[in-house]
Parts: sequence; C-alpha cells; structure tokens
Amino acid sequence: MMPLLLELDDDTWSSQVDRVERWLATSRMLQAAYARVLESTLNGVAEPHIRSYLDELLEVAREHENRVDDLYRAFGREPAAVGTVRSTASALLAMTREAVGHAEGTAGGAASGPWRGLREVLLSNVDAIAGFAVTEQLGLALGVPAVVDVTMPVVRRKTQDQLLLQEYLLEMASNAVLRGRDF
Amino acid sequence: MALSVVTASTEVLDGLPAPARPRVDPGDVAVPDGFEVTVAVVGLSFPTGMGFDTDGTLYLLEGGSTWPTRPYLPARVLRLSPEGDLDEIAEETLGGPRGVCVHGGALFISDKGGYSSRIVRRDLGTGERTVVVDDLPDGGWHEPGGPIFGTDGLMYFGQGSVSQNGVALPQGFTVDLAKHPHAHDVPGQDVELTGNTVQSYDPTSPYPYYVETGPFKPFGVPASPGEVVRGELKCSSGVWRCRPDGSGLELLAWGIRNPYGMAIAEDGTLYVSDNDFEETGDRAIAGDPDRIWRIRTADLPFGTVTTPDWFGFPDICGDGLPAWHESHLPSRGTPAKPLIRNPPPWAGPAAYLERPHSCMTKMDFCRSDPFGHRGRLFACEWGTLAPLNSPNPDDLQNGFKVIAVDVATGTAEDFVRNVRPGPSSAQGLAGIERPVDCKFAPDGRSLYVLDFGVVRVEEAGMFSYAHTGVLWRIGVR
Repeated sequence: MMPLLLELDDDTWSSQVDRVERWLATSRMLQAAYARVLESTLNGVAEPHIRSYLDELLEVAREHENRVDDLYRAFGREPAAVGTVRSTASALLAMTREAVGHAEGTAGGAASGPWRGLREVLLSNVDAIAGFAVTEQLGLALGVPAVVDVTMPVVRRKTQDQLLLQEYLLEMASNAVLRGRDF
Repeated sequence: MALSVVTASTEVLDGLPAPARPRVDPGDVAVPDGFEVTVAVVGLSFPTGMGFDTDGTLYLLEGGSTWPTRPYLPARVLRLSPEGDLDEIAEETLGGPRGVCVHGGALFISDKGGYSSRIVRRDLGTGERTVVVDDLPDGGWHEPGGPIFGTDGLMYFGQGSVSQNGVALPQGFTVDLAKHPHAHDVPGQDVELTGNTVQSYDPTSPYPYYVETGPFKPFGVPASPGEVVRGELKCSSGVWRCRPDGSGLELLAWGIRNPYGMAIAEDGTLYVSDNDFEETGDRAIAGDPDRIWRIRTADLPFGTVTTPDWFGFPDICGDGLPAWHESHLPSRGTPAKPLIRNPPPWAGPAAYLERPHSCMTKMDFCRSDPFGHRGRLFACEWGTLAPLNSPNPDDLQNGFKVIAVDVATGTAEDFVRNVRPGPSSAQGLAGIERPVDCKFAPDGRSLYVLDFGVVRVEEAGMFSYAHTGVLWRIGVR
C-alpha cells in the first residue's frame, strides 16, 4: 500500500500559505505603525537619557520591519510590495493609536506630548509583538523552521523593549499626571 | 469527516512541503534482518497515540495542544481503515487526546485539558460521547496514561504528576503558571511534609521577587514542617483501574511521574513506563534513569487494593536512590531536598531502567509467533529534551528509537532506530524523529510506529512542527 499524504497536497498547502501571506501584511503594518509612533514621539522628547533609549529602539524597530521580507521568503513567497500600501496602512493605524492614546491620556489628566506618546508607543508595540508572535505560530503550524529563526529573536527583543517602555511610562507618570509636566 | 488525503506515488517521499521534514525514507530506518520498513501516513500533526480494532482498523490521535503547548492544531481522532482510507471521526477538546483503545464497540480516549484529565467513551455505532472518568488532577506538566483493557474486562489508566520535579515552579510557565496558576500535585496517600520549600522567582509578578513553594501546593504557597496532606483517590502520578463505565475506581499505585505508556503482558501483568526527573531549575535532579514499572497491585482481585503502591515521586529516583543523593546532584540548578517525612515503602525496583531523558512513552507486548519476539515489551522512546532538561552532553542523543524489552531479565535491544543515534533530521537523514506509540496489528505480522515528528530543542526552548508526524509500518519480510 502506498503512503498517504495528509493535508500535504499542493492545493491544501498553497491555500494555507495564501492565508499566511495576508497575515504577514498585517504583521508588517503593525510593526510599521509602531515605528511611526515611536519616531513621532522621539521627536518631542527633550530628556537626553530617554531620548537616547528611544533612538536605539527606533533603529531596532526599522530593522525588525525589514525582517518581514525574510518571513515572506521563509514561507516561499516573494515579499509584497510595500510602498504606498504600507504608508497608508501605518498612517491610518498610527492615527487610530494616537486618538486612543489621546482620549485616554486626557481622561487621566495627563499632559499632552511625549508622555502621552510613550503610552501610544507602548500600546502599538504590544500589537506589533503579536504580529511576529502569531507569525511564529504559523511557521510552526506549517513546519517552517526558518520562520522561527526570524521571529524568536525579534519577539524576544521587542518584549525586552516593552519592559523598557513600560518602565519609563511609569517612572514619569507622577510628573505627567500630578504636575502636568513632560520630559 | 473528509480529510485532504492523497496517495504518494513512491515509497520514498521527497520534496514534501513542510521544510522541517522535506523527506521521509524507510531506507534511513534500521530494523533487524527479516523485517522491512514502509511508510503508511505522512503529514500528521503532533500525533500522540493510537489503537487497533480487531478488524485491523487503526485509530490515530492528533494531540491538539501538546509538547510544547503551542501551536494548537485540531485535536482529531482519525480512522485508518484496513483498505487504506483515512478519515476524521471526531475532535476532542483543548488540550487534546493522548491515548486510545477499542473495547466493546467503543473508543476509550484519555484527554488532557484545563485543570484535569479525563477518560472519554465514544460509541463507534452512534458516535455518542460520554465522560466515564473525570477530574484527574492535571493542568500541569504531565500526561494521562492509557487507557488499556485487560482480559478481566477492566480499564487501566494513569495520570502523571502536575509538577515537573515535585514542586510547581516557573520551569513549566506556559503549561501551568500562565494557564493554571492554582494547579498542584495531589498525593495518593496521606503524607507528612518535611516543611522544605523551594525558592524561586515569580515570573508573573511585576517585580520578580522570591516566593516559596511547597510540594502538593500551588505555586507560591509554602509548606509547613509536619503538615499532613490528605491522600485522595483521584491523585496525580497515579495508576487506576475501573469498569468500562467508570465505576469501581481503584487506585493501584501512585508516585509515578509520567505513566504515559501502559501495557499488559499475556500473563496479565501490568507494566507502566515512566520518565525521569529533570536537571534544571530550582529543584534540579541529575542522572535519574527512565524506567518501566511492574504494578504488582494489579495482580490482586478487583476491589481489594486497600493501599496503593508508591513508586517514589516526588522524592525517589528510578534507581531507588533519593533525589538528593550525591549521584543525583545537579551540575546546574538548585539541588533537591526531601519533601515527604516518613514516606511509604518504595515499590521498586523497576522492571527496566533506561538512560536518562530517553523519554519512554507508549508500549505494546508482542503476542505473535510470526513476528517473533513473543513476550517482549516493545517500548517507544520519544527522545531527549537536552540541552533544555539536562546539561549533560551524554544525554543529547538518548531515545529516538523503539526497543524490545525482556521484562524477565530487565534487558533490551534496539528494534527500530536510525542508522546513527539521535533524531534523523539532525543528521540530514529522513528516518525516525520521535516515536511516541507502537502497536501490533491484529494480523500479528506488523508493528506500527507512530512518529510525533520534528522537534527542535535549544538551551532556552523547544519548537514542535506540525505536519511532520509519520506512521511507520515494520512488517515481517
């Protein structure tokens, strides 16, 4: 009796990779949005130490955005053209994040400016982490080790960055909320 | 339910779409002279167990959420007919099924998920699903074992320990602390505690301060010297029997860390496989052998076991030495201290001892003269998780084979293995990865070996790849 192949035929497999491809577009958009909000926040920060940390985070964020191309290739697909699509998507998402952050920040009595921006960065990084982490699960589910090679270090670094962002958000919270001061 | 199944055109499968296992080749699998290896099914996702019906129909389990717990793929019960048709007959709940057997026109399936494990009966005629045994303490590290049926018509099954090494600790973060923060071991007899606790960081806290945890306690709850924890019929690390409807539940043994494999010899003797402590973390134990226990209380008439046998968990290693003995001191992590004061008598020695971290899983006795090896216990070795669970370089290649055990002498020989030790993918070959179950076909001429698939293990994690599971057939030539 010849071997049976379970869900390994071309049609089944390619339809699943098609779905992965759509998720990769989402993942790229989330990371691009994070980088955009981070850059926008960084521009308003005067405090030299926080500025230095955020500057490094921005460099890493752009590098991670480029790694999405490697994920397309790992799944056997060519990276999608980004250009306008990415810019539009990330701009839209950034605006959404900003609106959310602004509304919540105002409700909490916080000042406008970098502290509020830091909160938006924190939220958008959570989304962007999920983008890569979910992609990792898809790589495992389709038996693609090269995906994990990309996502593991990215998720780890972004999780570490999240701790840093949270620390500065909390460290500066009393100044921002009680005294209406920024940094 | 219809599955997407196609027939391969050759025995050697090349160019498979999952890069983790692009090739499957029986030629890379070594078996004794007189036997041949063929491939039955490729593309299974995290298969965990299987069982034959008397007509040769084979039921296969895809485990859902397994080792590690993500990604989850559907926890399916598949049916492979003697004619070679494969379909899906059911889907179990999250986490998923672990063992299956056929008895009295029904499937009996052990399921893991949530804070407990259970035994489910699925009627093969009506499809009706009934939980016949529930609330076996779990939500932690180890697995339900069995079920299997004896010639006495009774069902035998097990449940592994909740904690990895005797105390609920952060090593099992994704399994227990994140999902089941209240999970803890439960003893099968009253035990008095020494009061020793284990210190560890709490990864769920905003500040990772030390917490203390005692045995048979949820993470972060200490034990007191002289404290008595009451034994329960439904304990962790236990082995039971009952009638097929779940009535008459009888605890035969406890203190078995992971009784995943269970098999009954032709003379009616019950054997259970078990996995060793791990050399990692805040209660680290080195050099504990994997083992197969003989459960002597199963020889007693049904309903007469008043005191279950105790096989050592959480304090005694497979060789009968305490976990804090100098031969078991770890080269990394914090050494173990005694947890139980005045423990019950140890029910060892083991019927068979295997190299540490071989990860012995499911088993089956050969009852066939045509196959040869009649009376031998064929036991799967899923394979090591070193360097994750052991820093010892000697442990890196343990397991990854099926052995034939002579339970009378405590010796074994390799029966199915790769040409070189270790998982085939690590050698660039296309043979065995991680055997999780083996069962003899009712015709007595072939042994089926269920291969879990490709798992990558690193110092800080493990990754299992779906669609890489394989069902192998070892037949008499």
